[in-house]
Amino acid sequence: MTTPDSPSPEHGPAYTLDIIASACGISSQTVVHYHEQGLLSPASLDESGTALYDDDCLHRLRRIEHLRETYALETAALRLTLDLMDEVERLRSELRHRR
Amino acid sequence: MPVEFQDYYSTLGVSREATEDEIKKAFRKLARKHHPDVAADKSTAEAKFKEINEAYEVLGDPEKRRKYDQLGARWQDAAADQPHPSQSWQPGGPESESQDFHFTGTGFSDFFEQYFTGASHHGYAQPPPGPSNRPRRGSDVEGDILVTLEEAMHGTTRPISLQTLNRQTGQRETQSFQVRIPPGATDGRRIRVPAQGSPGIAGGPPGDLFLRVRHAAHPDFTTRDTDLHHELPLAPWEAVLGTEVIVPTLDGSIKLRIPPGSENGQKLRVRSRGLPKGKTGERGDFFVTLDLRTPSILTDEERALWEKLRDTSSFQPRKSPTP
Repeated sequence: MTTPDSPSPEHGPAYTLDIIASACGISSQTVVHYHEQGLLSPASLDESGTALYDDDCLHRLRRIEHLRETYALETAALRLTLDLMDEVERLRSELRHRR
Repeated sequence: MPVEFQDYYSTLGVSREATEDEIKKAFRKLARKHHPDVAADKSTAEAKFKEINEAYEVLGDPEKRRKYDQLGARWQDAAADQPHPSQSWQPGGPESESQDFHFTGTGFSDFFEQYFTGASHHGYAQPPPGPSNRPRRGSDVEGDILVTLEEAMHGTTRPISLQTLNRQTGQRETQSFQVRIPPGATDGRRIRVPAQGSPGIAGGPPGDLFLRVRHAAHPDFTTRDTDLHHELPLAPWEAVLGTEVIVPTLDGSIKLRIPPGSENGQKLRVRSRGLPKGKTGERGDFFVTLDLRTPSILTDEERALWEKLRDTSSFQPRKSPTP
């Protein structure tokens, strides 16, 4: 058994651009590039207009990096794959709600 | 690690031939009886409620039910054919980041974890191409966590254990930690637990654990994002004449006015009685869908009244509206 006091994450939009980039081992410019390509959006903006990201954003960014590195997907293929994965998740969720 | 077979039909008290509707009714009846908020023995109610939820999660989904039925006859053979990740540990085997782990505390049984959560547990198992001796971050681990709507409403902290294999020692290691479910955790939302994923390779940092929130089915409510939905059965005269009814919500009952002339399927919205929206203090809305019911058994007196209504009413539901 290891310690029960492992860090419990803060929830809600908690990561800045630099933090989320660092958590994925990529540069902030790469994250901005993904924004420009419409692959990732911040969860919210704070009062000063700074982009904030949440755990779902981080998961998506990891997914993007995984698809790009493992399958060498280019932007168009990446966008299509992400859209399809989102659609599958949305339909599964819809199915659960309809039951 | 052998898992115990779960007899979901027995849990819900239905036959193997039960229809979807019968399964739904059985679930609602049991979920109401064993719901932690209403059950007399709260200590056992929560476990029972989760058992019922898990059974409904499988039997209420035609695809999962088909798989379960196929599995039912030969589940032990299937277990042998398709080893559980924790059974497939091969210390000293070829280096791979394929996940060897096992959860407890997610609200699902080992049996469910093994057969019905599938790929969502595997995270990103394939390492990127490159030299095998360079430090690499461990892969993320993904899992589902069953959260009751009351937990989603108020937030809670849940103890989770994750068994992983240390590839260097070949030993199983158990990591125990607390996961905070924030108020307003919506279905499908991912909660990240840093550094609780797969160990890093060649000195790299460990991956993260992502737990996807799954709202437990509730006998009275469903959710869409932070909105709460409830079906309200109504008598025909209540819909026609209007009425006031007491309706449950997740934080107490409210008095709802049903306007005269309401239609079957009509949705009434009560603002800000759904799940919380983050830290803002805002809340989703509460939607009540009207479900008109007609009496199936009539006394002679009731039949006479309906016949009188039929003979005197000018209502013609199939007549096209005049342009």
